[in-house]
Amino acid sequence: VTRSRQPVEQVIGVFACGDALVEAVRLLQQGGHQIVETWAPYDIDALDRVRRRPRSRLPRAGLVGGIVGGVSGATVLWWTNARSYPLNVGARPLVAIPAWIPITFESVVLLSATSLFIGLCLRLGLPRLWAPIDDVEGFERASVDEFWVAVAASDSADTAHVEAALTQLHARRVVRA
Amino acid sequence: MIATPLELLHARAGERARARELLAPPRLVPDRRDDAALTRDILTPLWTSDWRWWPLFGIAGLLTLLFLVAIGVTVTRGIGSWGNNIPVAWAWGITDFVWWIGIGHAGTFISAFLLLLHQHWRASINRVAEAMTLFAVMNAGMFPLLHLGRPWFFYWLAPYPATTGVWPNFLSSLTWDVAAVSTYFTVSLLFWYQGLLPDLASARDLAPTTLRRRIYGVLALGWRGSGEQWRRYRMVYLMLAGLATPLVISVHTIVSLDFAITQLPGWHSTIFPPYFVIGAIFSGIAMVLVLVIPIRRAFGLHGVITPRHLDLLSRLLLLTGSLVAYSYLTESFIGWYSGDRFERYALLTGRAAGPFAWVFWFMTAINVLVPQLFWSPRMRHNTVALFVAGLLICASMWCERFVIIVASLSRSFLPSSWHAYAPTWVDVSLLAGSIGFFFLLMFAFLRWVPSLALSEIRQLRALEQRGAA
Repeated sequence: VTRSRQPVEQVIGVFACGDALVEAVRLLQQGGHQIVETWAPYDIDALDRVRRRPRSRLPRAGLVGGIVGGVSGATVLWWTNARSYPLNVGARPLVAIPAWIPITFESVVLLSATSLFIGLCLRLGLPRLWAPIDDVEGFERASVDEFWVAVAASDSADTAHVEAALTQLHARRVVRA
Repeated sequence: MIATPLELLHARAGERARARELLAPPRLVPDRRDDAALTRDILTPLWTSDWRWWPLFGIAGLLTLLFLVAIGVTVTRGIGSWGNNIPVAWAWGITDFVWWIGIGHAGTFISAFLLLLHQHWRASINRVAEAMTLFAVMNAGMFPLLHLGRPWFFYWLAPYPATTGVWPNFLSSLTWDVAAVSTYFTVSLLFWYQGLLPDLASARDLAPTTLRRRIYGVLALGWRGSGEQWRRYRMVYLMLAGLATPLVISVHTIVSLDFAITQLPGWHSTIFPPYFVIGAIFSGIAMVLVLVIPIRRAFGLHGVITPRHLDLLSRLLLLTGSLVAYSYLTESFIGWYSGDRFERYALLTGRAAGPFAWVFWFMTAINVLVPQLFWSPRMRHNTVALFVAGLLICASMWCERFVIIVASLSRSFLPSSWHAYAPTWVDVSLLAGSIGFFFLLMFAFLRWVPSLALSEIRQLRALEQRGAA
């Protein structure tokens, strides 16, 4: 029977460079520790490979937005110009598909891009002006030049264990949170 | 003394290592400051003002006032205050529109297209280029709006359920413009803002006062750079770049269709979409040079925007400039080869010897010859030459649009319908004022927004350091 470990406490390790963080996360996981989250001042894609995180599925939001944009854009063009108010200009066809391509394309891009951005904000819970991690001293530097990792600890013995592991990995600082 | 084979072997190995060192591309970010110092230095203008900034901001502000006056005159007295006439119904204003939107295109090209192609060097200049896009598109949108004559009825261009039951006619390319320009602005804004989030977070975390910390904190939306945030950020950023790339091509294609779907000789041409898109990127890269060279000097960014960046930009200038020259050649050749006397007149005689011949020859000389200077590596490393070339090309690309629009309209099919054209002070003030407004926004951006993509520069440096180690 496997039981998900309820983290009682988190231990935070602070590293001086991205490579050190990736290496620390890899070794901590090998040691059976559970990584809660990492924070870095730039995108480190190796972290996702080490943590075996899947690729984001947000492009689906873009796909749905694009399809909705294309269908609704083309429908508006057809309904306004061919159905609701058909205007005969020199016997030109009312259903003028070539002339509708530009606006349909722009609607695809507009709705796809806005859905992606809104999807990103929703998935990340942005705007979120405060989070518990903000109260840990020195977290400001995680957006400048420090690389943080939070490791779960189930009890006080485990906490000490994680702290020792982080210190051994040459963490610049180890903080309990 | 004769060297032993072993010594020779060692010497060879040393030479090889030296050769590798020499042949390796120079670092894109050779700046010696560490991440904390670099971030702090680049964010310094956000907290402290430099006295040199005020006069520049003031001049731009005065020109913006001129812009407001010209807009006021246009709105209260009508389009009659412009030099437009019949047949030259599109003139200076639409030239400004096409010019501004073209300038915007290089920003998207640099930020989105080069991102998709893994051109890491874009990291040092993409933020400035994207800001340039936004401000240029804001200016561009102004001109068709003013040209409506009654800009307060702009919403008539959108399909809204009016009590009259009438809808816009979507066979008109002008409605395509509305869709293209508004989409372009929105997507550019989202892309720019998303890229800004991590840097706004840096600004929040380094802000010296509580107020500033709060302002940048709200703007950063609570970005913390967690693994989950970066994982999704990366994907959405790439997707937006993937959308922005065809978008930028579609926008200038649609702008060119404003002309190409008409019957007018000089406009009615299938070459227009690629010709306009490449001309747009050409003029925009020239504007990037005009912006980046002084910024690099003023902020001491020589370790971030290196000679290699300027070299690569000037190569893009050479490439796009050569494609523009090729388009000119094709346009003139087809004008002659078509056998159509109106085409032949409009594209050859009318332009080269008509009333605007001097504009035509200025534009041809600059756009064709100036980029060719940058075959020479010495010229590519000469910042003064690059800056002057950028200014000249921006000016002559404006002239190109003027020639296409005004020279073609003023000399259409029948000599009986020919008409001269001269701009009024309102036309000239609108252009000068929009340039002022562009720089006003640019100076505000440099003062209050992180003007370099800091997180991308950090990432690039980590990559380069690992490569070197």
